[in-house]
Amino acid sequence: MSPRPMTRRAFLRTAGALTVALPALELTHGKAWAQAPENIAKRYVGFFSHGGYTTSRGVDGRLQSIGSFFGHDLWRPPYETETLTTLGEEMLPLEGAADKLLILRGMVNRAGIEQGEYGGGHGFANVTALTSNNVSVLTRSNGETYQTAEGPSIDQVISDRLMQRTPTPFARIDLAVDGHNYGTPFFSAARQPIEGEGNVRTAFDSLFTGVSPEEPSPEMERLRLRKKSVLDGVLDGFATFKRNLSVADTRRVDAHFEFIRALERRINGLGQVAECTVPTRSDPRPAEFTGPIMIDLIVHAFRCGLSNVATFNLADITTPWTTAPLSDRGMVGYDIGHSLHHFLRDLAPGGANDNDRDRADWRTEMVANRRWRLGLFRRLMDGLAESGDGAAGSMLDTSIIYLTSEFSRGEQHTCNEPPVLIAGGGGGTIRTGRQINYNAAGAGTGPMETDASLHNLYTTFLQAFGETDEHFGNDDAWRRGPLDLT
Amino acid sequence: MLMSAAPHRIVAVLAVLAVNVRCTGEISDALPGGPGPEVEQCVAGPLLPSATPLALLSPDQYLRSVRAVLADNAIQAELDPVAGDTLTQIATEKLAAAAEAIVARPSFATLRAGICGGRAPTACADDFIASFARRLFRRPASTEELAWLRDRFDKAATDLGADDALNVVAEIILQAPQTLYLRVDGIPGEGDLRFLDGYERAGRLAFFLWDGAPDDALLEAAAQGLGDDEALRAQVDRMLTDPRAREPMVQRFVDWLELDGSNLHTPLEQTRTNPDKFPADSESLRAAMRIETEALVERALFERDGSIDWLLNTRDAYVNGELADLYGVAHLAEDPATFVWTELPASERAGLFTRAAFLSLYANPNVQSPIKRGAFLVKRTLCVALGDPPPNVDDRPIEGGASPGVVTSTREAVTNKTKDASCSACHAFLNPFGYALGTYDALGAFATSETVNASDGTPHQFSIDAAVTLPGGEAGLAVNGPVELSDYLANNEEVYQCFAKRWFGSAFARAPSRDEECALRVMGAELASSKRLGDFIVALVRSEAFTQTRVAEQP
Repeated sequence: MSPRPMTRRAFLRTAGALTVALPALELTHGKAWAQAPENIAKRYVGFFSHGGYTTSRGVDGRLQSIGSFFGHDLWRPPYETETLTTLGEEMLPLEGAADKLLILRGMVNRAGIEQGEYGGGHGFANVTALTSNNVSVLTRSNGETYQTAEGPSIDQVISDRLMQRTPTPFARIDLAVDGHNYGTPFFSAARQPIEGEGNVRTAFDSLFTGVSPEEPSPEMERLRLRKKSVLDGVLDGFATFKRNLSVADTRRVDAHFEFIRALERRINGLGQVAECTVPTRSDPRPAEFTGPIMIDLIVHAFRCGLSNVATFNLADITTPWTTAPLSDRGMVGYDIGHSLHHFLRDLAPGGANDNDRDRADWRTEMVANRRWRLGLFRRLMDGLAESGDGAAGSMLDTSIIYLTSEFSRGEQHTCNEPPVLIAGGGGGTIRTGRQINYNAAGAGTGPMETDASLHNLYTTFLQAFGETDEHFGNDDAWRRGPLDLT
Repeated sequence: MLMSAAPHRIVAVLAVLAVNVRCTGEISDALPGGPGPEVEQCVAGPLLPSATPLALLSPDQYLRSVRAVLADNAIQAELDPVAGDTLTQIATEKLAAAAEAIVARPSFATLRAGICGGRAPTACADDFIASFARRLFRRPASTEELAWLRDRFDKAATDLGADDALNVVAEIILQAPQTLYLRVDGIPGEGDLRFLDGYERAGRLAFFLWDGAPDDALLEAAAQGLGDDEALRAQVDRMLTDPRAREPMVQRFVDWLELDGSNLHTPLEQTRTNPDKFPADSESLRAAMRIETEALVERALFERDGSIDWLLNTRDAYVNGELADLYGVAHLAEDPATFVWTELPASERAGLFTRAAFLSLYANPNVQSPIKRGAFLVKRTLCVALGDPPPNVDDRPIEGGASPGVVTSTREAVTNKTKDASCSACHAFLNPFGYALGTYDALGAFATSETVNASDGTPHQFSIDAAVTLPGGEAGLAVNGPVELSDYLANNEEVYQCFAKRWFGSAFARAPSRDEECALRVMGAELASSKRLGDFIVALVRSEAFTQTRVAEQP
């Protein structure tokens, strides 16, 4: 049975049940965008779903997988037509919204492929997925090594550029569903990872403290002044502290300084959104509930004009609240989604679980897990679609929501053909209702023939926001320049 | 015995146990013969100074410092751990919220009243700023810093009133970079060499030994320079016997064992076995396991003169009723909840790695895990770098039972599953360490046999074979079971070399460089000789690397 598209009423009802009530369409930030030119994206959400999807793209770029799973792809639309009509099995929650989607296939995270172990690997894939940049391997004081990116992720660059043109209280909003993963893909600059807030209460406090439905009271105004006084004082202290620091330390302290400035900007900006309705505060919840609440907080924050950029970092969690027959039988072994993908090996001919029941259960559980995740994506789409954006249409029409992952199929650990799903019209810069396959080899079993790297996609995003960049990331891409998504 | 502080330089050919082995598990990358002993030439000399990057205080260090300054151990705050080498936006926000909450506490009001006496805020502002900044900055504030903070007080007093202005200044100090970063500039010496001043030495010492800020006594000693060996040694002795050393020192072992979890396993308290197979597993039993481990470490460090070999070989156990049952020993107390010291059977248990906390954490829900246990020992006690498993590896638990056509024990099942060339490059080396601990089930109970089920459900019993050959000598070293394994570890120089590297990281908040690793080999060898961690700590603190630094690249 196909789920019905979520109507505004349904969204309100569900959101309310999850303790976050959707505000009225106050939209003070509409004024801020009043001067924005036509055909330009206004908002961006980076939706990162760890662990890959159910495809068969292997390390060498060929279709792989085992036995009856050879070549199967539950992500890919069943038809190769450009017009998007029917969606892949995992994408069921998005049915009815195909006209707002753009699926890109045959894409490669070339920076991850070129630098990573096994044509990807956990650390390399994660830190390149959104940065398309060089990777450094650093050592912690306990001797453990880890990978880090030598440049910012695309969300940060968009955020920086937007803040120059249309400043908001929050340069960006970073939320998360915590759980097992191999590191954040979000970076504010070289070697500066961004961790999203996973506690719904803390996220609420961070976003909505000081946002009042009424005129700020003298007491609130005093509190604002006080916070500003503290932060001004801290900022002053950096002047003497920075003297005689090394190059590397200066970079670190400068980043810290900028974070405090961002805090101060937010406090200064809160007065401008004081008319916004504040949603209800929620207590910490398990992931089943955290996911929808976090999505709703992003929608609320956009509607209140608190920010124009958000990220959502969704860990590679198992979802026992959905249909999970393998987990129910205690067969996954770990409470991590990545083990689900690794289970494939035992389902192979001659493997320990080479039987039809286990194969069927694996497929059922994996599909249910990915559908739950895409249900959150749909929730975000619906929330923005229900939010008007003046003459431009809805907020969905003027936004870019981008879903990807570090891998295609998780257990292969490969950066070949990660999922690339875009929703929203980007203010007329993106033509949705389509799929584009950059793999000239089509659906055959041979290696991919593509020259489309995530470098190119991120360049496209920047241009969609009115920027003139001709390239994003390092030099690992096959070519420079954007993709044509119009 | 203390290590000689006199500079010496020796050239040694050091036998290194696979320190640089990196087995990726890929067939093409498989090392000929798998990882094993390797000989490396290393020019070893004293531990010399190198440039010291800023060290950001961890949430624990920050909170310990603030609790000490306010004499308020109840202070709690939600602070974000350091994700990379910089603070994050969220961490900055949480710190701001924490500072606000700290200043609102009664203990802060008490501190403030203590400094100001009956004076009005404006009259005591300078004293308050100087006193509070000295404790948080871990040194007297400079004239420029005092002027900055006084200026902020005056501005806040105009906007918010003088009474709140003092609190505002306190919040500024609590978030100031001078508080958050451990910084070492040093006094100019020859070339790019710098000598740490007394306060810098004190700060480095306090964060190493207490994982928190210096106290007043240390700051007073710092004012005198802490330059001579005797003064430094006196402070080290005082600090190591101070109760404040206990928690952070024990926590370092907890971190080493990863009892609080990692990206590969849950924290000890959240780890669970299959309740059908292990009905004794419970929240309270897991809590008892942690208490025992921490008690053992504390006894080794503070009652056994920091003896590592005691920790790795002891039969002492700290048990309540539940844990005593698991160990199969009597619990000599009326109340089953009471913890008492007891002694475990000599043939069954010896040392930290034969205890339930370690054994049950590195296990699977249904069965022990020789791989997890072995991988920990190889990585964390011998400092052998294991690469990532190959991309298509099946990381599900390996259990004995039905393999195609045959019923196998857990050990046989692990051997079968890891015998491919792509696996054996690492597993031939690490599995034996886990096999030697085969006499403990997934919860840590001692067992000489195991029962596995064939595919038709028929139970099969296997005697546990814990005899292995471990690296050592030309033909390897035969070790039979966990007690002999513990003795092997307690007498293996590489274990102490590994400890040396890890404790260097704690002291300097970074991993050693290549040159420093060579110098550490000498100190690690001395640690292997004395087996006393305290001696190594003193040697580290007295090294030139600890008391000096070098100028890094300037902008």
